[in-house]
Amino acid sequence: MSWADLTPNTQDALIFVALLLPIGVLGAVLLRGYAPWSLVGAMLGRFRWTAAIFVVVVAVSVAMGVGLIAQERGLRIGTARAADGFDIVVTAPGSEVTMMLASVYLQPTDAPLLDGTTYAAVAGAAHVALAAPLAFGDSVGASPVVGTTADLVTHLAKGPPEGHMFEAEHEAVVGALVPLAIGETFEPAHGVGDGADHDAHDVDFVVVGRMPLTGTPWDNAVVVPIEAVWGVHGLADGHDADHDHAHEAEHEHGPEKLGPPFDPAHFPGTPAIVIKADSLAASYALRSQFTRDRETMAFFPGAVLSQLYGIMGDLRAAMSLMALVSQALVAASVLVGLFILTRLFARHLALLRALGAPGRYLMAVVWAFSGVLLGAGAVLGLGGGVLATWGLSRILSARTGIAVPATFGWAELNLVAGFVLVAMVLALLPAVAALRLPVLARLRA
Amino acid sequence: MDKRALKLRDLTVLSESGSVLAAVPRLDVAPGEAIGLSGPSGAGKSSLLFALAGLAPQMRGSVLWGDTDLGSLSATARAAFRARHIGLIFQDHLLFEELGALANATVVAGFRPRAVRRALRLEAARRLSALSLPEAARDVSHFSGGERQRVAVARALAHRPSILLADEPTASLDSANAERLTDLLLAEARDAGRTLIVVSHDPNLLARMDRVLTMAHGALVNDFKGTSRELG
Ligand SMILES: Nc1ncnc2c1ncn2[C@@H]1O[C@H](COP(=O)(O)OP(=O)(O)OP(=O)(O)O)[C@@H](O)[C@H]1O
Ligand SMILES: [Mg+2]
Repeated sequence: MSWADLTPNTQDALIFVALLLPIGVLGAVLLRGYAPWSLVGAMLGRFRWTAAIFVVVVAVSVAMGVGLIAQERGLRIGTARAADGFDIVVTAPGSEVTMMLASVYLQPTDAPLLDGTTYAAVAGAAHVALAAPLAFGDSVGASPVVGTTADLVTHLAKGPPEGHMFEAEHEAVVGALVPLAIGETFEPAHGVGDGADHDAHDVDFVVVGRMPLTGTPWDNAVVVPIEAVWGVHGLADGHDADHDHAHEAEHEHGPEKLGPPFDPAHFPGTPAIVIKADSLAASYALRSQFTRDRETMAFFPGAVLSQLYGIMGDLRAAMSLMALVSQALVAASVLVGLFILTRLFARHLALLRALGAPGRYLMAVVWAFSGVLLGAGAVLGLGGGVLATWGLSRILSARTGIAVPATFGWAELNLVAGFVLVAMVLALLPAVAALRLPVLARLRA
Repeated sequence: MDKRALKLRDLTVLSESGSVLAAVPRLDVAPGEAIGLSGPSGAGKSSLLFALAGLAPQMRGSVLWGDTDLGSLSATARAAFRARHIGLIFQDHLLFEELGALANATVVAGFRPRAVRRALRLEAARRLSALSLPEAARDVSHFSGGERQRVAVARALAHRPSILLADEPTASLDSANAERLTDLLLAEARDAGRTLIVVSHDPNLLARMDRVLTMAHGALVNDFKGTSRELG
């Protein structure tokens, strides 16, 4: 069985053990047969403030390293998960990244529109299980208003919303994080953010449903029928007006026509269509089909993300290097700190030497003292890093709507184990230096 | 061979920079003898005493305890010799302030084999209670000077050394405590036949020694055979 045959978890666990093992061996060699702990405990008590500061410095640096790694991974997993529900996105030719940001992550953008004929072609293509047009541009407070079809809401929410699906033009289903209760009414503002015009639309919507948490920016969105978005902007509503007109009596009493099929002649346009294919193979076929002509562009948001991560791979490498360099710098300052701490009890060490303590015992005392500080710093740092990751993830999630998971992995554990190993080996230096102290001079001092 | 017998031959104790701190061409001390070492400040008494413990910055010549010449041993071997044979008492106690009396008295247990540790602790606890030291567990920073010096004696004796070296053990004590400590030192030395060498200015202490050596400018100037032993 070779290394490559092992699962990644097993590999990581083995690396972790391999990093900690030398510390155990070192400790066993230095401490064998000795009982330095009561003395170490006394030293820690005596220099508790210095020791505490030292532990905090180590903890903060470890926490930053751990946080950096965990956050980067969380962000990667979170953004990828957010794109899960969006199999294929069809837009006018342009930047895939821009259109992915607009459709999946609901970032405002001015995109060219696809017309009704194009939509009809996409929706009518073989193996298309769902083809939902999107409409953006309005907002309620901090939440973007997104117009689309009930099918997409059901698809993203993986089921029916709490309450019920919008069934009339001025009904809305809100994302799980939107601060609007079912039954509340709102008037959308035109535009998003600070520039939004609050008096542009004189239409009231009522919230009728709430999606469960999806972990996507859609958790912050207010979703309304696409006809409503078109309607408040004075556009056609996607359906044959004459047809409606002819049956005006029915229209007055029955439900308005919402959702597909749309009438190409009355389709005001959409910047993006979210498609779900009925099979994976069909996804690839559909993507090429709608990318081939000059009218449209189709892409897998997941694949675009992977590309982005590929480009950012260098950035990640730089970040990892930064984490390592900062750990190395901390290790260096830890070394300086240990030398200073060792000087603090030079007199104690000289006294032990005068009382006949062997050199290995002096080293054991200094090294065990360093080990307690480093160990405490590493454990605190690990805890702090986890807490920081958790807190940052929540902030990021609240800001972007992307559920950034605060996970904790082997990479962090191994970073910390590596740091402790390096620091514990470096801690041998002040331990050896302790042997070279002039005994008598220290005793007379 | 009896480690309690001391022979100095052409001993020169030097500082790190090579200046002579003490020079003793010849000195013999019998096993179990109690020696006082006195002389003016700066005469080199401490320098000589620490050289006897193998703690001189540099030295030439021989310090022979029995057949062991400290002058020919490495620092490690000298430390091992101290750990086995020598009990050291310092002028200002030099206790670990953050440890209790018992922990101080048994601080050498940390580098003893596990089998010895327990016996060493029991012995130290017994000695501390015999010295009527309060609350063995409390840290010693609240102890009086006399109490501290008694803890220091207990520490020096914890590993049952056959040689006891003390540098001005009564200097920081009032006369009652000084007398009590002198009693203690002499009792511990005589009962176990230990060789005792005490640097001191204390006339009461010096009067009770078998022999008093006087130093000046790094040299022994007087070797006075006292009569206390014959009388006592
Ligand atoms: N390591 C050293 N380097 C240089 N000079 C030293 C060193 N140790 C001691 N001395 C000097 O050597 C002389 C003898 O010192 P020592 O401590 O042996 O004297 P002492 O007789 O014990 O005096 P006191 O009664 O004051 O304790 C002093 O002048 C002292 O300053
Ligand atoms: Mg002196």
